[in-house]
Amino acid sequence: MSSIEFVKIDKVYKGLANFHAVKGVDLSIRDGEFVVFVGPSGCGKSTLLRMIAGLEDISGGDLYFGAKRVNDLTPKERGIGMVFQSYALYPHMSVYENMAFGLTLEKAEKQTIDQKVREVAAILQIDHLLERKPKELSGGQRQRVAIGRAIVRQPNVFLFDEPLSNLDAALRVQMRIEISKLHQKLKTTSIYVTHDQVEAMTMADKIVVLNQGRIMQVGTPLEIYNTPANTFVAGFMGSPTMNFIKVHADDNHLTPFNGTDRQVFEAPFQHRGDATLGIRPEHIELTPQPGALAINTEIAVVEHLGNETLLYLSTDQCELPLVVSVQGEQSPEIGSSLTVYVPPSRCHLFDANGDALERLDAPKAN
Amino acid sequence: MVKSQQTFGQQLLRYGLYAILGVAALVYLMPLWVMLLTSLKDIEEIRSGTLFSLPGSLNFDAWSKAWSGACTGSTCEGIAPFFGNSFKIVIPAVAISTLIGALNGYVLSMWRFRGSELLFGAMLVGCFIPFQVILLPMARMLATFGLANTTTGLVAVHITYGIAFTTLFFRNFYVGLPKELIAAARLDGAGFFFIFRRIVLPLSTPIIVVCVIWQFTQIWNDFLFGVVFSGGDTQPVTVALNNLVNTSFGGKEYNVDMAAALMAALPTLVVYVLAGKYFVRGLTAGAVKG
Repeated sequence: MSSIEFVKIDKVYKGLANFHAVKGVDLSIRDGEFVVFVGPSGCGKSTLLRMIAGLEDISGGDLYFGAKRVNDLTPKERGIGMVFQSYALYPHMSVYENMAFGLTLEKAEKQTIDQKVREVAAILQIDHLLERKPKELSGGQRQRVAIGRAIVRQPNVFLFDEPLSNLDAALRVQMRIEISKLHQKLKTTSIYVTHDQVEAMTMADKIVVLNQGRIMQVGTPLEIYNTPANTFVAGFMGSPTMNFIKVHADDNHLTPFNGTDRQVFEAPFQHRGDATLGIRPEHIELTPQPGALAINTEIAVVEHLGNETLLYLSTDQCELPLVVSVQGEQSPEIGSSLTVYVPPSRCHLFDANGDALERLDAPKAN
Repeated sequence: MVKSQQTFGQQLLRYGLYAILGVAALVYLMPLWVMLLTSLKDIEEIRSGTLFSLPGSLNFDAWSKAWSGACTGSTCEGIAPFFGNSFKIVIPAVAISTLIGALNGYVLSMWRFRGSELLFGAMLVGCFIPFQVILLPMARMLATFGLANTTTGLVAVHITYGIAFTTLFFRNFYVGLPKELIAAARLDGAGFFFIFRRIVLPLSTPIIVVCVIWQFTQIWNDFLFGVVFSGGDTQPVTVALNNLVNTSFGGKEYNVDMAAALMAALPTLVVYVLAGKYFVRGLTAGAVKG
């Protein structure tokens, strides 16, 4: 068990053109925390994970486990347990041998090894599979074995590299819950890399959103959802993605940039100049709201998801179609016109650089 | 009506195909068949009959003479002693070049370093150097190390020449193994050689088989290195076969020549029959799995 501290961590792949994969990452992870790294492909999240594991050299900065600098320690010395996307089970060894491999290398006694392997196998409910080879197992079972192999050595830190992305949807939900439960039981510091925002939202104590090698925002799942720090985080987290409308701000008066219908509406922000208004699809209302921005639209596409209906609305107020999520089943006619209302209370406002502006009515941070 | 005509045409094509394949197979098998027939005849039958006439009785005299009595240059002990020489060359040369190739392939695919791809490219050039080019420098080198005309020297030459091929085989096979396997083993605390021995080698059976067949065939069938770098008593069987055919007292003994040639070809045939299934599988393994 250990806390982890990143101090200005850099990763540069040397080559004909140097590729700066991770840029000056500062981050503290508390002992026992479950942290999720999330971001689009190529954002550096896996590289960061591999640097923690010791599988990639750290080009610059310092990495601490507790008070100990671990930059130059081998993966083994760092005490890491890692679960890979492809499981990476040793194909020629039985489940038992796979799990015992690390302990055998530590020259633990046979009896101790046997006891630990069986204990972990029981926790993961794979004790009846111990004699099988990996190829005889299903995807979910392989995943359990991979997790078992990682926890059997009682590592300081657990790393998960997109462990569920090879599983089907139902199994993914099940394993997600099991990994969360396992973490509650073992309380080992865990870092989990994924591009699936549902996994990030549901599993994390703390989410780290990455883009192009930089940290975009660190926060609890609800902080990320409710107060995204910039347009990238706002657009990346949440499904369907947040709607953006270009506006001109004059103190708390906002005027949409495009479109013929130039109504002014008030929102609790203090800003002058160009800005971007953000509103999540689930926060747009179909009934008139006091003080809300009304937008006249035409229904372009309707998607039925069963529990909700997604409406894609074309309007001259923004370039992309405006997406609205409506509870339950709705069957509006395509091509018909619809007026939707953007309540100021659920609006986000971002300045010209894309950074979030603070709401004037926001509860003061403690 | 039209349909049945089509199927008739298709059938015709199919039989035509079989016929062509059959003829091709016959053409390839014919020399072997003639060799076998000739080796079982006595000289009189060879002289009076045609190439394809069957022997009057099964007569293995030529085989036993080729094995232990025929003259190869100055000695008349058949090809048996040279068979032993060939094995003394082939076994260590195949084993060592395969092992080195495996180790090279492991490093070049799993432990890449700056310039490793360039090094691999440079090693590949070794596959394209014609044997003749290196004869003189190699002879000088063997002389310098005191290995001229020895079995050890010949083994060394074959290993050197084989490494380019074996490295190519293993490297391309290992590129297909998931890198995460190595990462997982490193996290488990395994070192370079431990991972090689316990994780990588046990997964290498198909490519080891390919490598062994390839190297065995190459080295067993080699004539040029054998004739240049071996001494009188370290000659491999291919050189002995040549000497046997070229040494004649009186008439040519075609039956003995054929029997000796068949015997010399037997070991590679046996290796291929025993492991051929893996050979094809191993050659395509990398391509299919990706």
